[in-house]
Amino acid sequence: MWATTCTHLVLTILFIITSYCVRVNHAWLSMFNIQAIGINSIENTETCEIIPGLVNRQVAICKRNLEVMDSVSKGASISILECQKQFHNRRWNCSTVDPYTVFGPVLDNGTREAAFVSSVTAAGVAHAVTRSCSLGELLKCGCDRTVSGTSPEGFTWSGCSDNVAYGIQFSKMFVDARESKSRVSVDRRLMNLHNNEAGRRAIEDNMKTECKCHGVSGSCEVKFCWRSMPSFRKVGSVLKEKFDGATEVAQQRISSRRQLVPVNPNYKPHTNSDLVYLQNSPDFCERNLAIGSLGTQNRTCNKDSKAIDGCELLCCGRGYNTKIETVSERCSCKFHWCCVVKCKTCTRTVEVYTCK
Amino acid sequence: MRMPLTRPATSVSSVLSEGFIKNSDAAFAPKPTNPNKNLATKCIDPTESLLKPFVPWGKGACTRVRDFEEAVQKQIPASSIVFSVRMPHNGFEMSKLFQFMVGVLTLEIEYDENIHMEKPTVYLEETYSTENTTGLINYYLTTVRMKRAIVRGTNMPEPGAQYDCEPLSLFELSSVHHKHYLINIRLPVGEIDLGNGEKKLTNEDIGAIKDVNIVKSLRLVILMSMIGITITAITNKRVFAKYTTFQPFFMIKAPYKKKHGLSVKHASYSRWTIFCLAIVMSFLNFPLEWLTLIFEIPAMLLISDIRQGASYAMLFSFWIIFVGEHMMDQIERNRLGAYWQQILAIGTACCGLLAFDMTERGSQLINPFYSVWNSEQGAKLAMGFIILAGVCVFVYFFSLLFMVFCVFRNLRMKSIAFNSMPKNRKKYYQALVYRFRFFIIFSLFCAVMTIIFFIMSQVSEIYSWHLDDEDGPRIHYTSGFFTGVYGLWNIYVLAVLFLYSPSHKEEPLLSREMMTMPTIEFPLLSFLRHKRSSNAITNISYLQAVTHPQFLLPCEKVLDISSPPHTRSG
Repeated sequence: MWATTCTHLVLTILFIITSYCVRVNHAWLSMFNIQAIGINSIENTETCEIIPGLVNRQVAICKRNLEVMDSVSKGASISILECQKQFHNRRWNCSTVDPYTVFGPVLDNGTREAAFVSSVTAAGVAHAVTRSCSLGELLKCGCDRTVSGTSPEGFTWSGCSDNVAYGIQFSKMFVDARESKSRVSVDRRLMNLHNNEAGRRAIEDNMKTECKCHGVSGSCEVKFCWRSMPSFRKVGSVLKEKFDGATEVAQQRISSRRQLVPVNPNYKPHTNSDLVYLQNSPDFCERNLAIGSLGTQNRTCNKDSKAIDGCELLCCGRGYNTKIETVSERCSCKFHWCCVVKCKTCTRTVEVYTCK
Repeated sequence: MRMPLTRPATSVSSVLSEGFIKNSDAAFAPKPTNPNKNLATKCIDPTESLLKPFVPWGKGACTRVRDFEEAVQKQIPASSIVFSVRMPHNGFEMSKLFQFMVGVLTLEIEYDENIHMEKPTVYLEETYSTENTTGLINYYLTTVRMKRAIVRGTNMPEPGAQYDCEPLSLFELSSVHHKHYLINIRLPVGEIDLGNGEKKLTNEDIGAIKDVNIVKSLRLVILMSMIGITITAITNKRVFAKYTTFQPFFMIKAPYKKKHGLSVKHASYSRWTIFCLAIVMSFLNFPLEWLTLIFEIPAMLLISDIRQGASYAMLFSFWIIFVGEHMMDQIERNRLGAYWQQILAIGTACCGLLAFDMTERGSQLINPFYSVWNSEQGAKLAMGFIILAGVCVFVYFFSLLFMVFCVFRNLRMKSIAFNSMPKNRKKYYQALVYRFRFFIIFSLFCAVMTIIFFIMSQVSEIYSWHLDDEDGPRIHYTSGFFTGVYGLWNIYVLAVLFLYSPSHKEEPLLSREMMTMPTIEFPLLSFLRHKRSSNAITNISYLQAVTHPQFLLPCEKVLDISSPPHTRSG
């Protein structure tokens, strides 16, 4: 009896510790699927309090910016989808574990994966908020104040460019709000803040300038240009490249400021748009839920590839099973630009390789 | 004796200093164009007919889908989706100070490896509505038409990446008179009756994807000519209007009629051209745009185009006549017939461009979505007009250059004879040479500046975004260049008015016949060379020289190799 109670107690304490740890990292991402928690749309201040995973400061921001919160939720959702898209053939494939902790304990340590998730979610929020602005729905960001506003010339009517500045500002406010001093270790906080910023920079640095001429007889008498955001797929690819070239860093105190410097002094110091990490990642070969590794067992692999999606690497040398399957697919489709597609169904046999 | 140039010189310096102030003003003017990107809301129109306006947000908002995944779930066909944009954004109102509005459509088409897009053609049905404070008041259903979406980049192996699509011109409104504008666009799929019994499958090839998501969203980029540019232009124009409206009357009519009692019909042709130029420039500078603050004038862009065209035509005619009068050959230049080739070239170019402009902008008065470029025949016709105008302008400039070359040659030859001339006549001719050289250099300077301004504004528009990122006072170069060039040509015309309107307070010793007979000096020169004595020349003797055919040495004949040697040597 005593032993059972003791185990119970230990388990409870363990649970509290784990859930605290989980709270520390990207728990707000649970917003990606607020419908799962039974919320349709964030319309009143009470909803802000029942969204799991938000820290107090985020709840306050939520209450003040209700109209933006649906976009934040959308941002969380597109960033998770993008993460899964970019990592679909890696050992860690960005699987969501449950609607509350989202990715599970894999992000507890300052690994490359955690760096990528930080950056892609910060970018996702900025992207989604900017799109909502462009739709013209949000009262607060109808026009980009940085282009006009209180310019020294006093031209307050100047106007509206792509509202990326508002989106980025909001992402900075909301996503970075988690990283308060008391909550996490200094180096982890610095790492998260750096990677969040790198994610937002991936949008800013890839803004596309498009131009159109306007004038009598199609001449270029007046040329007007505008900036458009890169597609989120493009942002994801950029960040994936940054993930591959991420720098391992350690915290150092340089003239009374704590900074992240590369562990290997021979490496070029990272820039603001590079990703940084503190610890090497586990190999994610075996199932180990304590570190958030699901293992690669039963994952589909590519027999002919020598890259990470190839059976050799993905299955960590355990070998693979071959199965012949008949799949029915839609084929010779009649495409419209949207929505309704008329297709035939074709069946074909394929060999499917899965890891042992 | 005072040089005739001193008075114009001081005037020009004052004008130039004003021009400098004006240009420094212009550098702080707001951006001339102000693009605003609007993402279209996807409304649902079950009737598939666009018979009523679909408002994206606010009162009476439409039923909508957030994305196409939702549309697929609800099984909504593509034809039922209406892209709706309401301008400006929530919480803002359009200002009447905006001069015009241009819409551009950019499509976001996702790449899919299974779909090959060859010359994708987008077929659009568009409507626009305007709204005042009371609610939607006007609703226009426009004719359906074709547009080509030119996909620029296809080298993207990654599914889900976006095509690089060419922005399409969507509409052009010459006056922004209402509080809100609403644009609805439908991309119907299936067979469409084109009106003349011809049926066509539409929107089949604008890209496709395995399941969904091809046109992810439509974006409208709204260009509004800035209020600031209107204000700057209006103020500047007022200043210039003051100059150009009143001064020509004082400067041209008064001297002729009062001071010298010269009858106007004896005035040389270039002076009349100067007078006409002043009138045309006054018309150009008259702040007609102010009327848009009170009235809705959809034809304003057309009017400005015509004004601009008229001023170009006048300036071109002025150049040819001015240069022609300094040719000093034997041809009687004091009539329009002498310049018929050049005038014909200018006239043809202007008529061609006017015809084009009337079809393009004239049709936009009725249908703001209309563009000649959208139909193939229309584009060919428009291109024809533009090429015709281009050829004419080329011919014109070629002949102008040739004439300038001739003038310079004549002047050089004449300057040899200066030393052997009586003092007064020498001064008169020196002034003439000086004026002409100054004119050519000034014209050249203005032309070069315009070209530099043009290139710089094109470049700076692209890079101004990078400048915007930095803190500190933002200088809008494009606007500066725009008003700068405008000011430059105004100064140019003003300077021409100052310099070349009659200003002979002290009657030159040369007779009236001399002034109206610019052909006189060249034969005289030949005559002088021949006789090697200048002091004994009387009016009668050099008038005789003019009539004597053997002394004639027109530029055309010099270049004519086949002509007999005795006419060449003179």
